[in-house]
Amino acid sequence: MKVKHYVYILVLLVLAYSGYRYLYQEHRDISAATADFTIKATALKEAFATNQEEATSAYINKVIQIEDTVLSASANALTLKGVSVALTEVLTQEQRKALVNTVQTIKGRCIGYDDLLEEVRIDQAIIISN
Amino acid sequence: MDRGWAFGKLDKENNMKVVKKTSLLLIALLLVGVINAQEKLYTKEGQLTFEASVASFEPVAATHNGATAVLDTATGKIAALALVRGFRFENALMEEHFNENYIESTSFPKASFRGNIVDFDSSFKGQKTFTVQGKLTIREKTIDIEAEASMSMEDGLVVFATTFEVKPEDFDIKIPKVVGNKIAKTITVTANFDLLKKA
Repeated sequence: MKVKHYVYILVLLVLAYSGYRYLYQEHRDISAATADFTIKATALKEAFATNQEEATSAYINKVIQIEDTVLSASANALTLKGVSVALTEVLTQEQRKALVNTVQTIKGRCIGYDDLLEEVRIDQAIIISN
Repeated sequence: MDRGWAFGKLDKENNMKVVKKTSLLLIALLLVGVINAQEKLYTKEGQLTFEASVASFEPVAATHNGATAVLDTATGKIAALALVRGFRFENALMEEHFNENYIESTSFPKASFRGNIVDFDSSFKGQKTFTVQGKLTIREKTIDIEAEASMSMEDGLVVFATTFEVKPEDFDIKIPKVVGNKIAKTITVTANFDLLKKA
């Protein structure tokens, strides 16, 4: 009887723990994920400009790696041709200057197409190389 | 001699035409530049939050730091757009449920607002409260919104802030009974935009 009780308690504890782990799971780490797509910024924008619905279902919430020229850089965002990227890191003034007009590889998550500014938006991004 | 003179005249006429055309073009370009520079202010790092928490339950709230907003200071027209996937929750599972079951962000990736600031006058100084009227579209359902907005203007930077309330049923969002008492019936939305001239 006693052993049975211990087993019950153990099972309950395991259930409670896995339940807790499920409810309070970690956010997806985009920087550690492998890219679903590797594409040029201009090609990504073209995909959305041509057929927004199709591109949305193909790319939304996907990890995307882009290699292209950085047109401008703010404290935590980069603008490429047709793509706007929100970074997880904050750039210093020198880093921002050094990035402009260089080709960079950036990895982040696509969240869709901004009709107002006509550009694809990527968030939670990191700069991989220079 | 004659030929030379004729050519000279022709060249002169052509040159005059070219000069006229070029200067017209230049003036046009300058005007367009000036108008654009003065009229449109924008941000693509606008902050949006929504709060649907119920006391003594886990907070139901999310923040978006990449909303786009464009303000036309000549007309007071304002447009804003948020890609709903960009809303971040503290709880990852809640974020997933928000995207998959409630807002359905793959089918309806955008939340947008189009409207105007009533009696907008771009010449105001300091801080002023305006009324904003317009249409809010989420999940392809559109409702009319009227809210007070605080605006301040300094050195070309317009700080725009507003708060309004919406209901899940406005946008056909069904809240299952199980979680019905954990999600507020009215959701408070706050927007903060730092609007600047397009560089």
